[in-house]
Amino acid sequence: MIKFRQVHLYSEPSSSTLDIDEVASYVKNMLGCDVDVREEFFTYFLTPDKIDYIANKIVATKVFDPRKPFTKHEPTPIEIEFEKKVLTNPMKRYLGILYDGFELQTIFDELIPSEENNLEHIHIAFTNRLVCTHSENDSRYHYRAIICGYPTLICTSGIVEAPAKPKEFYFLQQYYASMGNMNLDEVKKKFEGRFIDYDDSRLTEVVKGYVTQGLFYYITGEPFCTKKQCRLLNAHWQEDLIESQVNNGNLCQDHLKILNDFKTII
Amino acid sequence: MPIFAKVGEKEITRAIADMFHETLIDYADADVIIIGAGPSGLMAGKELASMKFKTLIVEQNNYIGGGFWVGGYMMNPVTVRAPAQKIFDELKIQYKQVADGLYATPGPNACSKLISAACDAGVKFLNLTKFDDLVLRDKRVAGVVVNWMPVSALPRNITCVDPVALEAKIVIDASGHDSVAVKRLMDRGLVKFAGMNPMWVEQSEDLVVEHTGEVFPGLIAAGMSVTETFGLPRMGPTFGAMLLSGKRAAEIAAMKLKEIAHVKVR
Repeated sequence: MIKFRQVHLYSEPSSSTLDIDEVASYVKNMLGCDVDVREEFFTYFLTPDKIDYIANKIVATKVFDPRKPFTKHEPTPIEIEFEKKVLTNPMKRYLGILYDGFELQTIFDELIPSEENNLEHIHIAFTNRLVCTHSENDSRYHYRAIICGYPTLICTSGIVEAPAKPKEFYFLQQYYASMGNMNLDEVKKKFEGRFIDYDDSRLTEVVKGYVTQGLFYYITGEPFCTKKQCRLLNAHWQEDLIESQVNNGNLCQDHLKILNDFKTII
Repeated sequence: MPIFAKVGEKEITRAIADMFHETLIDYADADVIIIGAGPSGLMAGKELASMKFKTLIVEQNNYIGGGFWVGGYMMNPVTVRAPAQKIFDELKIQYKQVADGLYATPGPNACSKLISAACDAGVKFLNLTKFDDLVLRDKRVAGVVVNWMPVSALPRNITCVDPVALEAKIVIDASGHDSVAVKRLMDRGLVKFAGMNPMWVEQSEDLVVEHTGEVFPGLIAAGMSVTETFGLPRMGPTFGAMLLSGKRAAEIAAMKLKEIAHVKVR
């Protein structure tokens, strides 16, 4: 059980419905520790002299073949220029490029200054980049909404893309595509409410759950719970995500007890 | 009284041969050679020729236009998303708005007008001409090696026909999924080739335009070649990114040409 004193949350300006101050209040009430809200992670830490260096490192984490374990990509000048644009414009959301979550996490870690780079300071950074991690179970990459560790990375696009939408959604999408209809909005409309979309009004509530999971990783070493009624459920389906985070939004009795024990020692 | 003028076979043959050879001789040394006469290649060609650069497009098929004749699934309406309808306006292509930000027009209408605009601007074409290799000089691309397309379709032992080389200050690879020029550089270990990821229309179009650029000195990737080169998601049957990528490729080529000393501007 790690006794951290301060939680730092970083904003994610491309997600218009994410109220990071509300998330901070939630964490403060839950843990009773100091919580502060900072600008977007790279805006806060990245100095102009390091932009080229960090852009280069981020490009090197790109994943091209989801069926193969990570191999470092050799950045090209166009990719580096593109990444610099992403770094300096966090308001814009560019999707479609996959990054290895653990490799990306080390870049975030590198930017945290030494005086804050210890377990008394917990950093929870958000990214709109699509992150994935390679699983040894089925030897392929999977989208992720959270990368636990130091710092914790929460991927707002991963919240939309990682937990699967209802099966029927994909059947209909495939049917529409086979008919040459690429207007995904029509498909989305038919399943409205059954998954978290970009700029979803429920995003803040869902993020509270992922932040809680990130913090439990430090408290117990295990961020997830198998109970569907617990906020720590590692939801593989959007409908489970909505149920555990939006409709329920509480911890199970076992994790509530762990939380109360933790609060007595900090 | 005959309707048509009295002209013999030999005059007709000489007219065809003279005109063809005039183009071949004149454009054996072009400012820009574009590989592929699909929407991105045509758009790049039209823009460059409008700026008075000597522009030659080589196309392996007999017909010009690539996939722009057909929208998808053998249905000919083609779609673009805003702001690409401005190119329809510019080319005087009539279209209709089918949804917020989505525009459609019959493929033959859009494709024929784009071809016509390219011809009017002064683009020359060598169709039935297959890209064979790149001319590399002083660590930059300096032209293309081509052959008659039918040569490649016949057994090598009965078609031992050597190709010919055409020089250019800039080559644009607009060969679509084949990405023939980029692949040639990859074969030599000069660029990395990532391959295309699964279809994601909403995101891939922005990424294609953003990644359009010089992938090796003297070689610019445009259109679907960009997707292939940088491992971006497929975009499906919508053409806005093809048109805007072609336009951006032309802007980059024009900038590079101006940087090259002794550029020949007609």
